Amino acid sequence: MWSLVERAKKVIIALVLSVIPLVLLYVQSKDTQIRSVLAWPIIELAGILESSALKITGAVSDSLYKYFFIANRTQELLELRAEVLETRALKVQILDLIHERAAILELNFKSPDSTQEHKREYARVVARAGAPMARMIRLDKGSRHGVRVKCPVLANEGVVGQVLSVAPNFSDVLLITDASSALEAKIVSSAARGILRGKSSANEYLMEIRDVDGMSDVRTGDAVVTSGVNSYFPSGIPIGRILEASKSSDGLNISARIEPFVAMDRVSQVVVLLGDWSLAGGIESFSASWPLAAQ
Amino acid sequence: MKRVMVVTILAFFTSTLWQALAISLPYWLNVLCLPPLILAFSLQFFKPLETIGISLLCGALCDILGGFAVGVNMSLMLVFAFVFGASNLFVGRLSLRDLSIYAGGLSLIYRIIFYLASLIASVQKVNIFFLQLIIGPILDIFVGFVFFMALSKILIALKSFERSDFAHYVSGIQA
Repeated sequence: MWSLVERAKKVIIALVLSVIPLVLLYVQSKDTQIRSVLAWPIIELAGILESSALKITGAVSDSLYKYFFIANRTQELLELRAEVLETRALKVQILDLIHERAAILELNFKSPDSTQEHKREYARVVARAGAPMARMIRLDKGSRHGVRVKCPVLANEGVVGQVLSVAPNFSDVLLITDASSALEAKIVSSAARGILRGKSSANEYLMEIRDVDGMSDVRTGDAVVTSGVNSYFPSGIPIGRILEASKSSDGLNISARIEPFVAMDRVSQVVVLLGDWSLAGGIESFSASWPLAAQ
Repeated sequence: MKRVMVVTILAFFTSTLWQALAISLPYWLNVLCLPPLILAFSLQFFKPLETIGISLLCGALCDILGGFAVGVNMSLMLVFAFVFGASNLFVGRLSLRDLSIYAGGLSLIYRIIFYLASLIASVQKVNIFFLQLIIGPILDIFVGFVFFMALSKILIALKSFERSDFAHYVSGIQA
């Protein structure tokens, strides 16, 4: 018997190892927090490498820019161009600062009772994952900054996604436009609610809202916001605009394609809402912060 | 074990580098799929148990870095390791160029199976891109060429392989 086991040792090891992924999938289906426990060292390390790679690619592109645009000029042109470039860079920096300040002011909303401001963390995007359209982004803020799994992530224009995994200094965010992302949303003009899911196509980021009451008046161009129901998001945060709506064959439900307000391919700075925002009042408390939501 | 770790570390570096580059790359180039490349190499040169170990470690890595549930790519890589393990009996040792093309073909099959599995598992429509099924495998052939070359050089440098193991392989490179 023992000799049989000895002979089949490698087969037994292979079978035992093959069961591991299934066990992992089963454990994660029971508790979604487990993924963060498994993933954080990898995310942390990847984040460090990606931040460094970003700096290197930035330096390389700067060098290439200098080489192609300045190298072959005369001294006078070189000086003039350098001066112009410097002025332009300063202008861009100033515009960036103005934009950033406006974004921070816009996002700097308060809770309904106005006595306690909810915590938030500003973060930079260091990597994108997904093919070809990003389905996930990596931020340079993690559990050390208070980021937790499922924390809402916003940009100046509205919802970006939700935190999927957290490492001490980095975190992964699943974009709202990904097919596995789901959220209850509200159409501002009719106050009708439905389930919003990501539905990106080959070259554009899109979403779809389903199960909206067939009696509601849903029109192209209507703004869609978070409903605040059954979600970590506070209500009233802009999500996107309806591109086209269609009724089901029985006329009971409406589904609509939605274009996100946030340019997912260009988002570089975001804010992560920390703590429990789901109880943070209704649309009234946010409509002043996001003018689009009030449209 | 050393070879498994080398492949895993290189896969980690390649994956993170590509994700960082994805910020600057055009979106249609952001379609790299590492698991088939790793499988193509390990099926050619490693023992079955090493291939299983690589499938588990690299699969977990790809799941974590790609934002999938940990186990999705692991399972798929294991299935591919078992199924395509037998194919090596017929193809034998391939040159670097042929191995890259083999990896491209494997990549196409891997992507199709992955999407079908996602479609069944998630019950709803997933983001299926035909661009990914066309551009993806072609990109994998080019990235695979560089990846295999780097991996073979590292393994020889670390003396994880006898140079003679790669004799046919290296002659393939020169050819």
